[in-house]
Amino acid sequence: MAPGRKAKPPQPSRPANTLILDNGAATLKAGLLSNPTTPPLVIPNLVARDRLRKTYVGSEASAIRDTSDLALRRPVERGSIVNWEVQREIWDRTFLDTGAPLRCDPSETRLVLTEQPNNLPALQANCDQIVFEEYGFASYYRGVGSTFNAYHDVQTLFRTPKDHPTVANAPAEVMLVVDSGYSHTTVTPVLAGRAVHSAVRRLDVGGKLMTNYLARLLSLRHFDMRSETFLVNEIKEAACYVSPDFRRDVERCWKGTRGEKWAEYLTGGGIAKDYILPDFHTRWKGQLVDYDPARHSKSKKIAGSDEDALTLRNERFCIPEIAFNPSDMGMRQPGLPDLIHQSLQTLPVGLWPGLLANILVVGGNVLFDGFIQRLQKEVVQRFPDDCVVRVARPADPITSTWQGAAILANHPHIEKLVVTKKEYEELGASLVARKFAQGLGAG
Amino acid sequence: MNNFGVFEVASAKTTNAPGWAYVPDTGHRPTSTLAPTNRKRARNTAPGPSLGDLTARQEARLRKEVDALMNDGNRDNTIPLPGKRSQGKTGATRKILQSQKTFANHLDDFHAMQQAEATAAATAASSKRGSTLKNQTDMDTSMTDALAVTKPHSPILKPLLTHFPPPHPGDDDPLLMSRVPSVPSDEEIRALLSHPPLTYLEARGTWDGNDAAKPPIRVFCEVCGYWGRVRCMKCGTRVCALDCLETHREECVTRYGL
Ligand SMILES: [Zn+2]
Ligand SMILES: [Zn+2]
Repeated sequence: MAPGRKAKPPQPSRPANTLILDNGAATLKAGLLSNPTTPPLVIPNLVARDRLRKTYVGSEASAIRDTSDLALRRPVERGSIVNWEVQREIWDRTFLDTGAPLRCDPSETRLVLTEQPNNLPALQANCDQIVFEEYGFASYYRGVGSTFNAYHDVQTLFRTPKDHPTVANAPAEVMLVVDSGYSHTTVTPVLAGRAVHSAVRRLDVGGKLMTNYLARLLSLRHFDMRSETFLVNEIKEAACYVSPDFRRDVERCWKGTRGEKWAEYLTGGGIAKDYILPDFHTRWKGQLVDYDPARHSKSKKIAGSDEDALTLRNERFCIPEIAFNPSDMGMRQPGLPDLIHQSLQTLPVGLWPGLLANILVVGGNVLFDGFIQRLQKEVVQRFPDDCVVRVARPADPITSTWQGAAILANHPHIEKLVVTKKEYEELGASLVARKFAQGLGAG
Repeated sequence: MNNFGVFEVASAKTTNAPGWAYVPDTGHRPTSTLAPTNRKRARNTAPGPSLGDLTARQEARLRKEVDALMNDGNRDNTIPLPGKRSQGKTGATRKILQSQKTFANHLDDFHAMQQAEATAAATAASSKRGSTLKNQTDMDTSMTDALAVTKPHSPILKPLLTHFPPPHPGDDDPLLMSRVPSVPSDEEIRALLSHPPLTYLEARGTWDGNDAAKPPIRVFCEVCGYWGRVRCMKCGTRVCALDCLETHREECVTRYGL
């Protein structure tokens, strides 16, 4: 990795194309490497069937207008590709079929695929077999998504003055990647592009759990929304935020005693919002608006207003709160700040300053307002006073891992990581799996 | 505890309504008359209101609810795909493509395999210099050979670049000088990086053996989300006050009867 390195062993010529897939549980981020890099396609990673029993695959799902009572089937479960029948259908339509947006010939293409840390060996083996035996990719690297983020210009993300001339294009020396996606949230310390496996930790709270938890609360408090995952997910994305002061906000949402409504409750306390529900008739999209007590008055209800509004109060911040306090919903795991603390405690103290000053957060959940501020505040409380804690969120935390993978795909490191189809045939599946697990390793 | 704006429902005594009771939530206390608290479990949890003061039935319900929230609803895997694709090019891929196993199935398989390996290892160790063990070692050696990479001699981290605290006017003041611990040596870094990935369960964050660090568990009103200071004697559900208890009552009667 030093600029004046010794002559490299001759590399097999690089395939014509490089396909990069960040295969998430909610969305598949897919793109062919190009110069300059164009942003990836973000494709819903699911098959859906609507009320009229029409089926939608992957990107087609974006066109569904009536999302009520939608049935969903997802190939990725707990972060891993589990159902290959569905995943292949979505992959084929993305890069194989006639007219596919990223059409390429796998035998002339290198595949760079992300996976979640601590995947099950059997699922990794399935994946490798499909990639080589079913698709026949020319070469392939399967690596932990978080580590790809090290290839970004991390010092620019953290707005650090470049007082040290950094080696051009080298991965960040020390960083801590928090990936909070649809399946779960992981903490991965990364040293020069390599995951410190012994310190990787997972919290089983992700976007899916939050959506389902919101559906449960709304069903208990308003009406049954348990089969309205799509709508509830939209409500979550539009309305939820991470509270800077949870206790204060809970108090602000108190409704008062039976005889006397609490004044702040009547005005909304600065927290309440109305979500105007779609009727899938004239209104296809829901909309978040300021809380208006008049909207809920009896006279308006009697007049037969056609607007159906759902008032959201503490649901707005109790949902993302479970990433910080999973026990709020009965889950016996440490919250994200404690998880970071536990991860670092397994590492030499000398690495702490570097890791804490370079916490990069990616994944859909970090888009909640207040997420990075709250995380920064709580991590500070868990470490010695002289540790500088900086939390940065890339411009697009959903495609950040894909973008990082695209930079890696142009970096000399990739040649050490990929396995060719020929090597797979010669070495066999289990050796290939070991090579991927080793990654750049200590070499 | 913050008592701001709290309408006290009950004091230390228990008020009985026909078939109902309000129980003030004061922390440590036997839970309900329906199921005695498991003492062992209570001992294993942090002080203060905690999941440990739930009854076994409530705990089971809670765990089931959390598990249910991890799924996509109960209609997964029932949507047939449109059109026809090939059955798979090799026997192996055909099997993978047809598999209807869930993640939970694969996780169970993995644990069963781990258990079998542990048993096999124990057997091999007892029959000393057993042939199984020898074969295993031979295989490992050949694998390592196949994976051997030429070791570059440059350090993994560049010592000067490892951390970036922003410059501060007090940096040179001996009184304010922070005692920044030294960065681990290249050898230590290499040792750290040679650690293999943890298994799925090993990586899961837990409070194992670290109960002191556990924050007190907060309980909420199931009806409105405010602090759940009152408990329904019938089912253990937490509510905040009279208003919400009444709302809860209707549902409770439907679920558990009078
Ligand atoms: Zn209440
Ligand atoms: Zn009850």
